[in-house]
Amino acid sequence: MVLIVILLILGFAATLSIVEIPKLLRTKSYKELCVFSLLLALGVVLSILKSLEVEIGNPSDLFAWIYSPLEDIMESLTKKG
Amino acid sequence: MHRMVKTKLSPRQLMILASGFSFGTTPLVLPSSMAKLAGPDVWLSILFGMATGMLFIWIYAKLGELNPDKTFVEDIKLYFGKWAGGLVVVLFIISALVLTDQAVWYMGDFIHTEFVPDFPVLPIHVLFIAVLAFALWCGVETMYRTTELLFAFLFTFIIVAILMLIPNMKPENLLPVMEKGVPPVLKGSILYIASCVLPLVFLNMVYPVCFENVKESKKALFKGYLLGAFTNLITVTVCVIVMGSNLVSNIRFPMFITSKEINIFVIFSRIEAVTFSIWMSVSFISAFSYAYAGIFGLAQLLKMKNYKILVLPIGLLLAVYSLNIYTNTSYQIKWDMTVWPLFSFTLGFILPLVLLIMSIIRKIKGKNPI
Repeated sequence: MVLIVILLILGFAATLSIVEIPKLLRTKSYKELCVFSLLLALGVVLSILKSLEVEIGNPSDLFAWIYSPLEDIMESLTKKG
Repeated sequence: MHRMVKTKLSPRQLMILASGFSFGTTPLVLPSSMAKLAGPDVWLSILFGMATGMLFIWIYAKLGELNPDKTFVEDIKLYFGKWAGGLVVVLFIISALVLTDQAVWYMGDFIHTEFVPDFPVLPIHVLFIAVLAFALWCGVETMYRTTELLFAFLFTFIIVAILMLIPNMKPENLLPVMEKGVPPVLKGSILYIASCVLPLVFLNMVYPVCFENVKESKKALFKGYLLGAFTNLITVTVCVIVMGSNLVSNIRFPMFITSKEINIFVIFSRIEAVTFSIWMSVSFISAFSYAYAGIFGLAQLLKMKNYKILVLPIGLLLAVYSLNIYTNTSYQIKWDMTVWPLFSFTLGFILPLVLLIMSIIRKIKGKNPI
């Protein structure tokens, strides 16, 4: 199952690259090409890690951490009574 | 700066968009947490939240009016400079994408809990994100025209559902009014403002730039906000009138369960799937607006010519994180109660207010150079 998922992800990424990269090269938009490949690589790596059940972190935790000093105030504000 | 935006929308579309966005991703979950805090006085909380919300909407409208050719991201870059502005924009983009993912998560969680408990969640998320990516790829104009089309259906559905609930209404459920005084009402309105008013800041990514007549669209923004808020007021009050605030506060999807109560002549019963379709379309509108703000903001930050190239890679990232964004339901409830109000307050009040003050100062200085 894990193998199938990984193959699907790689297939998706490969198709996307085959369709998009020649277009970007033809129009000489190198910045777009850079951003596109970075994001796609990030997506592929993260999704493979995720399917191998590696912990990949959670952006919600980031915001929870930023606001953690004010957590007590908020808790008392949103408590019943 | 490249002018990527050539799309033009009509004020009517903005009105519909604002109303859909203010009705929001959370109407299905919101009544429960609000009834927990405010008891039978939820309608008072919403009224108070609506009135206070006008101030925030005024800030967004004024900000757009003062910078008629700039999106929110460009405003931030202009007033905060390259580096500080860049950092703020990155946070803005991340939060837009996180919110998109939360909308997807709510959606998957709902289907998983109420319709198909045996079906894994990931395929639902992936399907939703695939449609979202297609909509993003088609562009703002297409999506908001679709919204215009959907609006008529959704509104009729809501009105019909409420009319059919009339036999089940027990007005005594709204009593006693203000039993514990004002504080519970205010606490309820904090949640209301955080989840139905402040997210409208993301509309500033389309609001001034996509419209020819800023005055008209400003009016439309207010109209849309009020329409959305009234819809919220009516649906939440109907939930409480039909089921009573105790029951509402103890179930997870009050709006859905309330529409299960509809039973007229045996024929019109079990129409909760209609509620579900309303909610799904509305949350799709919200998810689109968030995702568009995030992706378009990223394209503007990097000064790219076209944002469409980013849609699919970011879609993949969204799909990966859609399972992670809330670890589980209790995490979601805690996050929405303790982190989200503060977070949305920073993003939807402090940041636009600072930008507004700066743009007013700039305007005054521009008029009489010292």
